[in-house]
Amino acid sequence: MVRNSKQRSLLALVLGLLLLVSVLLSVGSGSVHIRLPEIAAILRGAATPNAAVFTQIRLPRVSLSLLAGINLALAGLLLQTVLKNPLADPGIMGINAGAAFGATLIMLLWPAATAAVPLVAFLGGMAAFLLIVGFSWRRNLSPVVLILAGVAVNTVISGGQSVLTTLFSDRLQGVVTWLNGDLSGKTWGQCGLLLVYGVPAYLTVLLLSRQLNVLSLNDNAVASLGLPVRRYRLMLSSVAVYLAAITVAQVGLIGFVGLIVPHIARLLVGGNHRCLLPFTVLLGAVVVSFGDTLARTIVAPVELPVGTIMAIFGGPFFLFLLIRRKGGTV
Amino acid sequence: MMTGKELTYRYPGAVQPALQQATVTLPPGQITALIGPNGSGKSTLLRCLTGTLTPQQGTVWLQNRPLQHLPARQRAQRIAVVQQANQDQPLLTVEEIVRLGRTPFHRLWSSWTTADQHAVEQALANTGLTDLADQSYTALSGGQQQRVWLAMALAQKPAVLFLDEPTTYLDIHYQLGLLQTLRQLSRTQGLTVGLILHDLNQVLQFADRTYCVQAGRIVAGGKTVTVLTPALIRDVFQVEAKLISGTLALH
Repeated sequence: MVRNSKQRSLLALVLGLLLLVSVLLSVGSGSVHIRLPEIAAILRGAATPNAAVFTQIRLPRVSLSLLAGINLALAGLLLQTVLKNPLADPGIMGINAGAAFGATLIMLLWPAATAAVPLVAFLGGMAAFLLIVGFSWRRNLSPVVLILAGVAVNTVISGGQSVLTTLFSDRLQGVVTWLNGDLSGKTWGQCGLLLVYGVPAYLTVLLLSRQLNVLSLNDNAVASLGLPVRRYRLMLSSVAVYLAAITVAQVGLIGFVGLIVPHIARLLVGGNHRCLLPFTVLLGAVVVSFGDTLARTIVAPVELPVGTIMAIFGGPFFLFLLIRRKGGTV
Repeated sequence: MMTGKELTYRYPGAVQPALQQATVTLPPGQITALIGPNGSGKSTLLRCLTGTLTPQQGTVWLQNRPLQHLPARQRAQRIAVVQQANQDQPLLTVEEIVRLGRTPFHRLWSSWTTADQHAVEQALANTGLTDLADQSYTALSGGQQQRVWLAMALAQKPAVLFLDEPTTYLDIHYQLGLLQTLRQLSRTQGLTVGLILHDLNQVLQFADRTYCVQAGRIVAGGKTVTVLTPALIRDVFQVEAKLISGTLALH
């Protein structure tokens, strides 16, 4: 673990470079290769042969992958901290499933209304979360009850999802791609939308970031420091749900980012949220943009959904984390 | 000065109140011990005094103000609590945890002041943790970890400090060290200390005042030497006790 500020700056520099490399790889590779000199020329405003591909396809795509990475990693970190549970993740708690169910419902039953997919996905995620909160409200939103309720809700929604996909198996094509996390064919409009939706959440997190360290203590300790535990927990987990749902609405299900990125960040810089928060954001962006490049190039010309890549690499990594940590600590 | 007047608390759904008509006084600069058998209601009494529970009847007075009228933040500026055997394993350093004790004095955007830094350094010094300030909490021994939570509570600069069975899980060396620290703080800084203890000899040795709780009621209270008699110990704990040169022999 990195402790002093000098090492931290160095680590931030390394991750920043990694992000740059990842972005360059992402915009450069694909069915058309765009080399560095050409990228430089396009950025200077020259009309090169691949300029349109670069500005209208590659750039929005990599931007969206960065935003998705940031949002999902942030959502995971917030949930893990306020619920004090290493397994808290929008995926495991059924929030993503709720969002996906809402979206699937629209895509299969009212295909004409695809414009409403993001909104309905968000409502679905929120509904799943409110259901969980409703079940655990009387237990003071205790982490264990919250997670168990989340697992149960997740199971029920997945069941509903199966019913939908079985009944409408003839219309599944677009849905399956989307469900697996899809970053292809994204526009600047979608990027802008995700950013505009995200900004209020970022500001809220920034405002409350100092309380995150306090919230990692147990409830009695938090209360004896004069903080309204339940209100903070509800507020910050709502922000997390919001971030996850608006992201799922745009890019579908990309699992494991919310789970593993905060864990890697914790291994690197420790549990102080003053460092953990920015490093989680940075790592989230690196991981998803890298994952997407990999998804596009690993079996080219066929493109894998980025969610599939994250699952394949994320699952084993999570197991590695579990084995590496002794005892029951996060 | 803290007093609880005729406190009655019944847990939701319970038939019998866990605490009935309990009246206690915690004078400043003194250590007050709460004793009693398991399930007697002493933890409920402690939670009423810390403001964690609000008694259905009776009032807790803190410096002549009713405790329930104090907003949580202001309460936390006056009362600090050290929990029983904290199971938290935060991935923070000792100093990072102790700094959290300054939370009640901060608004969302206020910056860290020299007064904050001074309070943290003093809390670290008082608990002998200055040299361990940059150590990771998880790397500490159980005794050191318990001292971290005491330091966090002290960083709150409270008028009243409550401790719920602070010596549990500590070996005898750390138990005595902790109690000596508390005695010193109460004597030198006028800190009001209230704590739950199980070892009656430690009560005899360190507590200026003692309240004995049995079946939700206070059956004895006052100066420790007058409260902790062989007769009381026989009645409450069903243990024979003999006072031999200032120490209780229990059998």
